[in-house]
Amino acid sequence: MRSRIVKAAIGRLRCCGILLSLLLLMLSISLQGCSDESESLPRDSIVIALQSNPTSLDPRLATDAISSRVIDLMFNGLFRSNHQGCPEPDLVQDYEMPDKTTYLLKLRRDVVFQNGTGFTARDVKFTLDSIIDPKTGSRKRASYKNVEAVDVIDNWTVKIKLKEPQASFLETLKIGIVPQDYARSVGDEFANKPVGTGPFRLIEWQRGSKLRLERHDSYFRQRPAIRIITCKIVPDTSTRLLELQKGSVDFVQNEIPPESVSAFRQDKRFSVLSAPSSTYKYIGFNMRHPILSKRKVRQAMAYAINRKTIVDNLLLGQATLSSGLLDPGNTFYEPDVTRYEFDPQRARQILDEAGYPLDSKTGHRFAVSFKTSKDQRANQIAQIVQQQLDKVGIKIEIRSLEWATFYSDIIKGNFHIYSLSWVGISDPDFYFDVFNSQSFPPNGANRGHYSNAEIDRLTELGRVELDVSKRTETYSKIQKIIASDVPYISLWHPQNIAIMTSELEGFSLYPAGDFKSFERARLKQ
Amino acid sequence: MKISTVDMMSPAILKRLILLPITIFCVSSVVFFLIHLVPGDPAALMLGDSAEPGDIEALREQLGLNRPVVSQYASYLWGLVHLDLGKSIWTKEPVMQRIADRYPATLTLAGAAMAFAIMFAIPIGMISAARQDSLVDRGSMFIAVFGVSIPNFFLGPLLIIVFSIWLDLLPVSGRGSILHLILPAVTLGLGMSAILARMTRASMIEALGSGYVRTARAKGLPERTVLVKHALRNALTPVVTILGLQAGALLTGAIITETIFSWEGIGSLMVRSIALRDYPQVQGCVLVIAITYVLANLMTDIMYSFLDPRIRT
Repeated sequence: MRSRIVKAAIGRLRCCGILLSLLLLMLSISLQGCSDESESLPRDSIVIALQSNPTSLDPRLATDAISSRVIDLMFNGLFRSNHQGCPEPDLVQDYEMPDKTTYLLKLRRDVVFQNGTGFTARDVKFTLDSIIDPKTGSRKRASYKNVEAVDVIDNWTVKIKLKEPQASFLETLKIGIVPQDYARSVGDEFANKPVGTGPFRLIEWQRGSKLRLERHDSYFRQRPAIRIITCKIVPDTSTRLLELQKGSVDFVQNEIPPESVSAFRQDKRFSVLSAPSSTYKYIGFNMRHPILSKRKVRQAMAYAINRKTIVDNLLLGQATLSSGLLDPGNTFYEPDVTRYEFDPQRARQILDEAGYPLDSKTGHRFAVSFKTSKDQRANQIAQIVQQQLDKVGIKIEIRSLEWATFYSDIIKGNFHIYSLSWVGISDPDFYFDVFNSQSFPPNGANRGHYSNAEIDRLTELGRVELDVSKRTETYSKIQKIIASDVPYISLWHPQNIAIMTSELEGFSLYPAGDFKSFERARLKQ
Repeated sequence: MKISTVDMMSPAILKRLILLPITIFCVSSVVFFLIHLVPGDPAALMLGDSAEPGDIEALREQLGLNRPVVSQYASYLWGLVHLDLGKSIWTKEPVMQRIADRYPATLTLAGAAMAFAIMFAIPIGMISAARQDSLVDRGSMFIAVFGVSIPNFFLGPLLIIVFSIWLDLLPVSGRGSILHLILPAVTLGLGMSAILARMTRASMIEALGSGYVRTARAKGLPERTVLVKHALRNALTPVVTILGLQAGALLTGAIITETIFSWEGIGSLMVRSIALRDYPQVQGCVLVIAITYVLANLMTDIMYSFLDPRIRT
């Protein structure tokens, strides 16, 4: 009887097989016409893996890193970052400053947009005016609050008048220029159907799946060697690396687990590039906390954290220890500041002097909470910091929060200490935004309510000082004071890391992780 | 056996149909107030640290977030009645459009995972029950335990390494051809198939030992008929219960699988929208998920009626 039962079961299995075949047939019909083009790419095409879908491809609106990377490929600004992160002319041929608040920009005459229309001063005025116009809803509007007027002098000359001198103003002119007539005609749709002057133009955008960019044949610089760039959206880190191993993706940048990098370095099919980034990882203090407001306590905590151990063991050396916001490659970087080498004995001594002896009952001097996001790496770092501070008698309670809640708490000043990163720091005017007492939230990013009259004076001076050597001197003083006051414990500058097929050459890393060098990249033939 | 539509409309199903709009209204209302209660201001998240307070306020006004929550709720309900779920705060696209873009992907993946689970689990469960305590039974149940124990975030990459990297048979991730569907469907369906296989086995063992199966055999019916028409049909009722519960979870809870295989479905859209406090998008996703759950339960009830005519009366 058993065999009959099994036969019956096998018969049932056959039915299931037929049903499965039918289902697969139906699915294959429904999925027809969506063949994966990445598998039959010609040699002049590459596939880049991106972590997420761009939120917008309008340079006036986009703020997230992924959108900015894709925008890098499609747009040019009046200025662009060089490899040190400093602005250099892009669509601007030359510029002069008749006075401290006026910029006279001479534009390149050989530039055409990807829709064939010529680039003129009208497009510059339109782009900047539309950012300033609240109706556009640009998230970058605050950066242009010092602009009084943008005037077209002639087809290739623009005059920008500022309300007051602003040393960092060229930074704001890195934004991609959009064509006036086209942008007006398509309105909000511009974010989905962008047109710029850049080396690549958008030809397809399957939201959440991929973007395809084609070489802009009339690009004003040398025509790119790569004809098609496909940006494939692969949210999972492991999957991105597996795609790379399979060869269905040619390029991955950042958010790569440190332990994976060495494996790719040893594989001759890939080349790995790494370079210091302008990202700054730090621990911030709430200065309104009665204990953390004391400088000695903050200094002791800085001495108690072994940053080198974390970088060597957790990040496997893929970061550079930092001494302040600016990375060592920055023009304004000051190396001669107070540094906090790991010294737990000294930390204990300072805490004793500050009036926080070890309580024999609790085994601690005091307790504070440490807020961090749910990010796995951030939590690992928090746990190591917790253990290290525990050894000098500071009890840390880690509070790991979902991103929006965490961010809401930080900007409201609802924290004791927290850990975050600043991304893409290039101009030192950033010190005003994070340490000037006018920048207390919601007016700025001085989240810890740090207040120092000398820093206020110097950061106000630095932002209007146009003479580079005087400005360097000002920011040198600022960096020394901040290093001594420790409103942040400087942790490290993570390295930008790109892993790519060894056939790809000519790509170079920028401190902010720009994709601009794809216009010079090529595949070995 | 013919079953008319009226026959299938048991009081339970009618009750569920009546409760459908009420359930959806309650779920969407609760979610509306919950998402507005949790900390996190979408305007502040959008504009970041460089924003002026005036800009944040202007954006809040533009998005209608400065109005009292009750007023926003009234607008939401008014839109809902007119089948207008509003626009995403972040992308400015209509919420319905974004859901319509993603939902077919979710349905395709869930459908394929469920088909895989059913076609894998029911025969395995039947064979195991028929050959109880044999090597086949033990082997099958070991696979079932393995399937239910292994988490998707481990199974997914494991399948990619074996079938995409080593054997080079299937693509790693993304959507496109039928080949792209196989690994995510197996990843998502294996856990469910393990549960179904165990349930089928248990139900079949119970059914095979029941009086009506002995009677069927005594009547001299072919073993195949006894097994499929008498035992399996009765054994399927609890299996369908599990299937109904799992179907809703498959349709909405495939976030990990979606992320691993870059399969942009409604689950990952909702998680991202919650992180960004994209209120209209979250509400739209929850609404669709609630409808999906209710319809999955309704389908389960209809299946009961089909399998067991006593339920219709």
